Amino acid sequence: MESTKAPRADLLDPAAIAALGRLEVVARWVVDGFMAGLHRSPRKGFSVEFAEYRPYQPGDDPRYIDWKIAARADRWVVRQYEEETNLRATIVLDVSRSMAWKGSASRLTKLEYSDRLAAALTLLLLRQRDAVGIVRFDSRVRSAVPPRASRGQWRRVIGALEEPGAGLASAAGEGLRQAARLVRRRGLVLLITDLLLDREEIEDPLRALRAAGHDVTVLHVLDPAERDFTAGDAIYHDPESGIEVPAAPHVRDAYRETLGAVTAEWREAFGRLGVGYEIVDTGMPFALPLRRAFAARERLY
Amino acid sequence: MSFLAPLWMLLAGAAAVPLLLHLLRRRSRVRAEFPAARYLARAEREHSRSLRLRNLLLMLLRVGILLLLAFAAARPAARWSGWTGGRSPVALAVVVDNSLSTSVVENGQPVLASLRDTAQSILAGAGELDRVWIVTADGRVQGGSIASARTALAAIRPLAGAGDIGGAVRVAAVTASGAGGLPPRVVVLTDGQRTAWPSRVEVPGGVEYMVVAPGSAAPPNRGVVAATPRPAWWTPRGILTIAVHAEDTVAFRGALLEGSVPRTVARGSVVPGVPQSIRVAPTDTGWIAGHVEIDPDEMPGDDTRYFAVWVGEAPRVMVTAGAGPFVRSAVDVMKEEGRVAEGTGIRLMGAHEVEGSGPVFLTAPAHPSQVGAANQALARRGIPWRLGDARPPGRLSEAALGGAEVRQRFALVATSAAPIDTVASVDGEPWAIAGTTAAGRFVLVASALVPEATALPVRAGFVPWLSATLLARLAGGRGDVLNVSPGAVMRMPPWADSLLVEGEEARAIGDAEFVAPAAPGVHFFSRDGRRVGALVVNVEESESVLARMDGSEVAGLLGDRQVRLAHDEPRWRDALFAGRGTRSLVVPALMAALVLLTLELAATSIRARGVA
Repeated sequence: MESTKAPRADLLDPAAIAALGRLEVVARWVVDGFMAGLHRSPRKGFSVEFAEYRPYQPGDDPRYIDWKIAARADRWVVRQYEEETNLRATIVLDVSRSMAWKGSASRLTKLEYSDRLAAALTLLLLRQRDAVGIVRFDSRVRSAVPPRASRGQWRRVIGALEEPGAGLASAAGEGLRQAARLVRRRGLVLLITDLLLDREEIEDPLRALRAAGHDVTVLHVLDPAERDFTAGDAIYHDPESGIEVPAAPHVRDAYRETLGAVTAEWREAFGRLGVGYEIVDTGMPFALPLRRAFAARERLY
Repeated sequence: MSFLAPLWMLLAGAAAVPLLLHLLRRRSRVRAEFPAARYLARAEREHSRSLRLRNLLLMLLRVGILLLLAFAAARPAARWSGWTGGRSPVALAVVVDNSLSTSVVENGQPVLASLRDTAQSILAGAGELDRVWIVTADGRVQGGSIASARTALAAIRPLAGAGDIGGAVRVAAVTASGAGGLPPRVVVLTDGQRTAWPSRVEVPGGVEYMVVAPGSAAPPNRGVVAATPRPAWWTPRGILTIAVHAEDTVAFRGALLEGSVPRTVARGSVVPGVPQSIRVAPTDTGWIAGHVEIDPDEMPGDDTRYFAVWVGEAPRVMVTAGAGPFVRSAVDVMKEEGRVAEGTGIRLMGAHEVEGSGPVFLTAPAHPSQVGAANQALARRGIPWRLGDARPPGRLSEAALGGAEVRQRFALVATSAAPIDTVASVDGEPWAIAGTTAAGRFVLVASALVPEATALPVRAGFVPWLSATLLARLAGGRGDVLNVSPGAVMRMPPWADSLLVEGEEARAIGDAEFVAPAAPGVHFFSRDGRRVGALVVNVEESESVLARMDGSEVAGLLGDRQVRLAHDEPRWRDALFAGRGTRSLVVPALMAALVLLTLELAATSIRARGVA
């Protein structure tokens, strides 16, 4: 097996890699890099009924390499089997106004980061022959792509991600309910949001999803500037909620304490519902949230 | 409390700045988008009490810092009991008279030891904020702090000579006055030796002086005050004249250091005030050191006196008619005394007679009509001087010549650039000069040595002067003896190029000033590697006279300055540090501001922990 010296895109700075290409291109680079980093996965779309051969890709399980062909033709192919237990995953993406914010010009907005993360997740799941759909919401459900594993699903999801959003509210409950309607079978629901919303609004829909047997994971997107309040003396306002707060640097410690309490409350609330909860920092490479989301998929098998 | 610069208190108005900032903080006009503003609001809500307290604390700290800085800038002063025991600090220079006279043993210990004890007790009364120096009689200043002053005091040793106690007082006054505005005070600890305070000492004003002198009668002392070889060059025998300071007859011993071993050459007793001359016959030749000593007494520093003398064969001389009858008579006397011998080594003649080579002693012609012939003869000989116009009468300047009158003399005019070595002068003008040409050494006198031209030939000093001139200037450059006191500042004589100090390497000093060795003794000058003279270091004669003044007499010599006298120790020590004055609060204020600044930095840098 040849090794590559090129840097893995999933480990690069998100803003740097995003500047190099369009959404789907970046998603491919990220997924390629991520797959190259996976060493072994028990079920990556391989079943017991043989379907076809395909060229070996880094990350494929060596057990499925056809060594006879490798010996005869001096090339590596893997045996592909019909998937019998396809996963159905739905990504629920918050595209409200609060997501279109970044604390530094050198970073991606939370929405830009989430778009690329959603695209990469979609491609990753599709490559696993999983069915993937997406629901985007702000003050209402903006777009909904039902989960499919077909070849054209990738283009549909990308098309949906490129639609406008940024409404001045977060109808997360409606988005989750839409996801429940799209996913009839037991599957995976990934909610990507900055959680600047009321807890009561999403608790019932999440409870319903869990009751339907879905595995739900919430990826809490935070800009580094939101995690570590470093701004100066000013009046801070949230365009989505209209809240205005005068603050000075000396509240930093109190703010961090409060944020710590808020995330703890979310973690505790989601824990009670059996919902996974991960904090995603827009300054971190895509590999970290991908790994956490992929871990959620693994739990279903 | 008082302020030296009260206008700086206006700076306290700056304290309003953090106050206003604190009050106006919530009126910031800057708006910034921050989606997580709800968390900020919650933080303000949940931590409002602690935030308010912290803001208030920060504001108070900042206001306090500015107030303290303004306070310090106004240079406050207050009366309070601090490190100086409730008094204001002073700049104190303690002059410790460590001249040789203070080495005399009195009441079982040297006077210097009791002066040092007094100084120690003064230092014991000083506070941390006082600045203290120790100044010794040689003008050396040490200290600055109490610890360094104590160290300097412990290291004080008696000088080998008189030093300059008046100069030391002046140095002390200048030192104390330059101590950053502290009240300057000078304490003079002296034995009050009368000869050490010969006249009024001009000291700076604005300084408070205090004199501590024992005022007791000085103990008796004996010392050798003179050991003088006569003449300065022995050919080969000479006379050693000895004088002592004592109350009764004193036994002495004179010795010459021939080779490396002192050889006793004279022994006897001498009556105080009556110098005794002893003929001495050395066995060695060249420059020889010697000393005269008496039995040790309470002040051994003046019990030995050193001298140096050149010993050698008498030079041979020949006198012509042109030199005049008085020169011939003087040479005859010198021959009888063995200082010169008949021969052709040195010729003494009129300037118009000079010819040939070899050392010559030339006198100007008695009549102006012979001046032209004399100048032609000088030019033929290669002497770069000629006789010029007649000069007005005057008197010889050299003390040894007794101010003898010169009635007829000619100007000495240089015909080319040549170094001038003046042997004698009249009213500041060269009268007798010496030099060297290719034909040999010469001495040229601007007058005829006859009574019509000058009274010198009929003076007692004529024969010794002529003898010394012949030996020093014409008989091979034997140099001279310089007698100095210990530590004197002096210049290298023109006839030497280096000084060989006993126990040291030869020092090539050049034209620069140098300090004579601090210890009595004999050291030799050399030129081109051979001895050409001697530097004799001896205690000043006056230092043997221990008669004392009391404190009031010493104080009177310090002029009209503010001088206190110390009669009983507790009183004068209280007076020294008297004046329960104010002390500056600048440093405490700045320290307090620094503490508040540290607290402010700590308050702003504390961070919460446990953030996810």
